[in-house]
Amino acid sequence: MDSEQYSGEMPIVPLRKWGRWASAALVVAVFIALIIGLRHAQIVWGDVPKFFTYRTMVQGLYQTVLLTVSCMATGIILGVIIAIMRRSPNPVLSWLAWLYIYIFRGLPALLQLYIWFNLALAFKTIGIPGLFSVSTNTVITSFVAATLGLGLNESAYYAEIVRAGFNSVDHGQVEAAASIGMRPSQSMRRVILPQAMRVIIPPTGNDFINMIKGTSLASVIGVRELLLSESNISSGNFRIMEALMSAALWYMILVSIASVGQYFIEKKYASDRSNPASMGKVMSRSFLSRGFWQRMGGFSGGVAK
Amino acid sequence: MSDITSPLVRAINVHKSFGRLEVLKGINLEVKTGQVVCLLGPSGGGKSTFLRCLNHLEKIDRGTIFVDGVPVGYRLHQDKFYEIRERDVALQRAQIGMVFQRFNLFSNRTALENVTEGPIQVLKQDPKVARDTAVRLLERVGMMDWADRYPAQLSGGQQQRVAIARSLAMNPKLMLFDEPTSALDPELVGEVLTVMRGLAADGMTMIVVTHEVGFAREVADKAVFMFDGVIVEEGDPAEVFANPRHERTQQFLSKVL
Repeated sequence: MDSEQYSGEMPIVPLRKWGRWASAALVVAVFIALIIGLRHAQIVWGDVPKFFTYRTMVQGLYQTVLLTVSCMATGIILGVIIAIMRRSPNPVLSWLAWLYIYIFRGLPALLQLYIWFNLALAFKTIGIPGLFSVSTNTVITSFVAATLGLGLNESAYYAEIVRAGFNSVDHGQVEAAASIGMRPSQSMRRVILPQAMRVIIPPTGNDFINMIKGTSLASVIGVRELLLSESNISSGNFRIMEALMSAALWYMILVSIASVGQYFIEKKYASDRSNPASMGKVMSRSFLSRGFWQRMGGFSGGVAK
Repeated sequence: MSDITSPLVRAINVHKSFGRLEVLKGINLEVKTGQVVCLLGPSGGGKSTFLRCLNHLEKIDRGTIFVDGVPVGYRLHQDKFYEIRERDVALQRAQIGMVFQRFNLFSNRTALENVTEGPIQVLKQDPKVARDTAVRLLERVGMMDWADRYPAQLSGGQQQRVAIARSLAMNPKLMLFDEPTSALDPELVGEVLTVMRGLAADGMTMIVVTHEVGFAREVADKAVFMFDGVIVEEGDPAEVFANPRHERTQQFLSKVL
């Protein structure tokens, strides 16, 4: 056939994508097998929703949320301060910020938790000599130790996120701010920070979600968050798997809520006017949408002869 | 402090090095109020660096720059120049407008917000007053129809015209242009030059680093040729372009004309 024979009305037949159908079938089969396997597991599924609403569990949920928020607040506030110190023209401040990040990012979070929790072993009291002094054990409760351990660890990572955000702002923006007579502090507040937010927000969401799960580490120093509550329930009745599933369900719910929040905050900042191409971009990945049949090549269709 | 006879800008023996590379080797230049001075010459000759020294975006190593009788970036006290604080430099910069090669509009603000930012934040103007001024300036550069657009939604020429309006909003004594048309598509150069011609006609003092020889010949009161960190020739554009005296100016003009 050549172009002379083309009538202008011949239909286009999509290529059938057999490989996609085959691999999809395989994966679905494995998934179904896993579900059937789970049904045969020695788990009393009826206990899961029961433990789910236990008073202990709900109190644990409350502590998990509270700890996540206090750790992230600590991490973000200190992280921003450290990031600003890091880019300071003052070499002492910038070097100290580097050292801070080096130490708190370099040590395992669990180890940091133990250090804060056991602080009283090293310092019986804390305070400023001559001014005030308090017993370490009254100040550093397990919740405070967890906030310090996880929050300071987070602040070191967060400082790097903020720094990356600062670096993403074109230097010309800073020069333009200077050229209209802005002081460095105004330039930071009005020009650099708002533009850096675009880069800072998405990883902040990730860190928040990681922190929800990360607070489970605090169970080892006695914070009665979800995981320790689970352990308290199961140590009484030995329904370990059931209690674990119940706690897992709570974690999934918390993470889902945070993800939805992250999606909207990201959309607010990412639909930034500086990139008009990103404005119309909407997630179109819904299962069984029209795109599904297009990408699978459909049932009909055929193979060119 | 300024009267019509004393120069608005007086640069005396300005030196600047980046590491071992000496970029400015003793620049002397005077610009009177209302004058338009074009700095010409090949890339790497130090034109842009000199311009950036004029509002202290670059610190000079030796020499002095007076704008309106005041040393830029320093305070003269008993035969010594004392460095002043960044916030005091900011006050000086507020009186000197600058237009950049890459426009540098604030990308998170609309055209209008770009123009009102300086008056509101730096001059502490009432937002309503600042907005009225901004509207007037955007009309002047022909950008009022795009007032609510963000920089990324504007062409280069449009962005540059907004950038000029942003500088004008500070009511500067002096405007610096750093290759304002070099990053533009050829068909957009004209609209920016038209705005600049209008400014010159209104009596704005302008120092323009440019490769637009035609613009320099038509608008400038003085053309200055810089090569390798020194001014080799300066004078009336008609005279200098017709009869360049220095060999390097002759070579340069034979390439660009």
